[in-house]
Amino acid sequence: MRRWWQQALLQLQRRRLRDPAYAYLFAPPPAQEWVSIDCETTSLDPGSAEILSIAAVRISGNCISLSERLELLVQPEGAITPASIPIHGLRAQDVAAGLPVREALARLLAFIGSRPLVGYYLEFDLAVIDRQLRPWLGIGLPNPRIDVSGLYYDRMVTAYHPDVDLSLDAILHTLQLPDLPRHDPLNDAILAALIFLKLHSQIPEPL
Amino acid sequence: MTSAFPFQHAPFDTLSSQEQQTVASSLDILYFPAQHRILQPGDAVDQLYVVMKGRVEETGGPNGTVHYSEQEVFDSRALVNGTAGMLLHAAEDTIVWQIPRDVILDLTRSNPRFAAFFYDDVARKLAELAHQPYRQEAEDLMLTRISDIAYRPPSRLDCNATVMSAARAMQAGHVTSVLVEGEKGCGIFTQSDLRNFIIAGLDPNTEPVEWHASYRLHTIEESDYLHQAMLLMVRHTIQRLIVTRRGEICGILEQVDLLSSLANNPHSVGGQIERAGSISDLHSAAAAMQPLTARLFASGMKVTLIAELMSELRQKLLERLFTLLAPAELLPHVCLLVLGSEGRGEQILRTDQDNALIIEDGYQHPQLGEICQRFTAELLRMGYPPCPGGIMLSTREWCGSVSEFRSRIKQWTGAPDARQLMALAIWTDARPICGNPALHAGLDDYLRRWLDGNPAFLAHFAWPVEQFEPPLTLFSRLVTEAGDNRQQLDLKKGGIFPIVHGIRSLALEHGVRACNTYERLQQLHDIPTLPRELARDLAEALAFLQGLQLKTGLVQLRAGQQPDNLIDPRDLTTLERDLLKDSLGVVKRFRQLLRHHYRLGAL
Repeated sequence: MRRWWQQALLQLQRRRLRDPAYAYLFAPPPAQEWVSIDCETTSLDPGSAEILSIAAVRISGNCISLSERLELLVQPEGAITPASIPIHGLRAQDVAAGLPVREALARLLAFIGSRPLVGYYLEFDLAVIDRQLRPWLGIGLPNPRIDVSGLYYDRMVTAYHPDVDLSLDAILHTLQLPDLPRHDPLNDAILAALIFLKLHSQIPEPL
Repeated sequence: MTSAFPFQHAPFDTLSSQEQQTVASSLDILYFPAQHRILQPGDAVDQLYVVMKGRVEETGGPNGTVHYSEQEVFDSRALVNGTAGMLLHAAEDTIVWQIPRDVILDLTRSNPRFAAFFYDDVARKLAELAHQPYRQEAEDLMLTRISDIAYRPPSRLDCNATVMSAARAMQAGHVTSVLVEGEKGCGIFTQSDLRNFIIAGLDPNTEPVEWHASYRLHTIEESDYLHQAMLLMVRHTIQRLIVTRRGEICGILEQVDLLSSLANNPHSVGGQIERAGSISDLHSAAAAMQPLTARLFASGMKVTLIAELMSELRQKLLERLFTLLAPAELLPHVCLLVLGSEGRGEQILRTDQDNALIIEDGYQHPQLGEICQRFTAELLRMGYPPCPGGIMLSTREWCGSVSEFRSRIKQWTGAPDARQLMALAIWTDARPICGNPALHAGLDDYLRRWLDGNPAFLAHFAWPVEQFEPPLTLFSRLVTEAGDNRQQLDLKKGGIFPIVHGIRSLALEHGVRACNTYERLQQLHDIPTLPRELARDLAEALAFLQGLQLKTGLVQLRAGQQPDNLIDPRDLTTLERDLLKDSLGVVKRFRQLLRHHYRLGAL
């Protein structure tokens, strides 16, 4: 039932796609590949935030292909909320050399293709991206989405412990994953990829 | 990202920032759940791995099971070979960085320091020495040119020589290969060729050796570096290389020669000491000793061996210093002793002066007082700090006649307060190094006879092991209460001292005369008090703790600090922390045994 609904939704999106050059977004994805993604934005309001930087890394099998990463700086059209600058460390002059948002997104789309997307609180990042994509392509990103906080919740929640601490600190600690300096989109994408690999069960050939 | 990769650790700390950039941009991350296989013998290897988190176990190697923990690199040998030789799997959930082979090999070409580190790692595996993960100091050694080490001149035979004459030539020249000038040019006939020949059942008296020689020669120029020779041997799995000088064959470099060029170095310091004709010659030998310690440790030599070697060198140094200062006619009437850890042969890094001089009763020499003062002063100038307890030739208490020492032994055993007990403990570790050892033996006999009549004294003697609790809770957690921020623990007080002193007490009780703790343990192994397993565990725990002590000491010395025996468990790898806990657990068991044996609770 759900599958059928998703298929129908995908068909609908495909019909709405304005630029046929992007039809590859609907191709069957390569097996055992995902893309972990993270953005830094001008504010925390999905209705108005603009992208400042994007990082994406491909996951294939049990490998995070860091050497083929995508790291982009984006020049926002509006101003950066001063309160957000200490968090991401990007000032107006830092992103002045960035790409125009449409060009950055075009490169992102080419990088991710039709692979499923992985991220930590992916919803916000993708909402911002989709808001920029819609006026241009007519659709948001059609890729399947895997939020690692959701994966983690499913793994941890029990009737006895209905409350699961979904902070990144708590997740990394519980899963015994290494911590990297945060609020660097590449590091955040790597952390999400690590959480994904640890929770995702299909890893080839045990000993 | 670059901030998370261990560029501050060897061998990557040798890279320039541009080279670091190259590595950083070629990194990938792999995840292996616990028990999953990473490499198995025969797998093609085109990456070098660095552990980011977790633990990797290597089995099937010559050293048994080897573990790699955070920031450690594997498998350099497989990388050079191109195929894996051992089974590697994740011992727990493990994340590793991987660096492509080409990037590493390019770095070894462009950065000789990195190459030296890297090939030294390979060399270590080849030498099948105890695996001791640690930053390496061997670059200068690996950057030695082949012309600097002792390779052998070739044994040559002409083309009509038989296999028998080749075998004779090998035996006569103590070599494992001969060169044959035949029709096909120059070939090599080795011991393994000889073995194959015998298995084939041919007649050695008639078969010409040139038919059985190999003509594919691997050569290396005399001006090339050792690490290049190492690489060639690993790549072609061969035991020897033909050395050429401007294209002409001038010798044979055996793998053994290459590896012993690492190990031979102590002898050169030893030789320097023996040949020293003046005190200033000794100063330069003394200066060479500490870097040598670091280098030997880096080359993977066992800590107990390093300790033995360094003690020997230091004792030689003291002996030479004393004979340079004292006239020859004085020597039969005195006995120079080293005491405490130096006497036990467990002092690795040079620390305090711990020495004493026994003078024959009634003997007098006009210069004796001056000689003792100069001995202490010269050692001070060589960087041996004065002993805070005043255990030096220049103090009255530790430079006296036989009868003075006898009354001192009475004093130490008569009023067992902590200071007297420690003086006695240091005395029991004494080792004569120069002069007339009979003077010391007589005093030692005197002490043992007294002890035979006073067995109750041993309980007092053993008591100091009760002083310091091992820093480990009931639930095997490390207790960090030492240091400025109470984040450190004291290796010596909590671990090394209880083992050393407990074994010293048992040795005294059972009349064991050895000075070294490991030797004492070996000689104590048949007594009912000390179960054999515990004795073995104690030796291993002590070796681990002393290794850790050396490692932190080297780091502190490099940072310009005095070694203080304090370590912060957070600086250790997971594996080291586990081993530390295990070792301290052994110390705890041993203390309980001593408490019971000597009824220390009743004191």
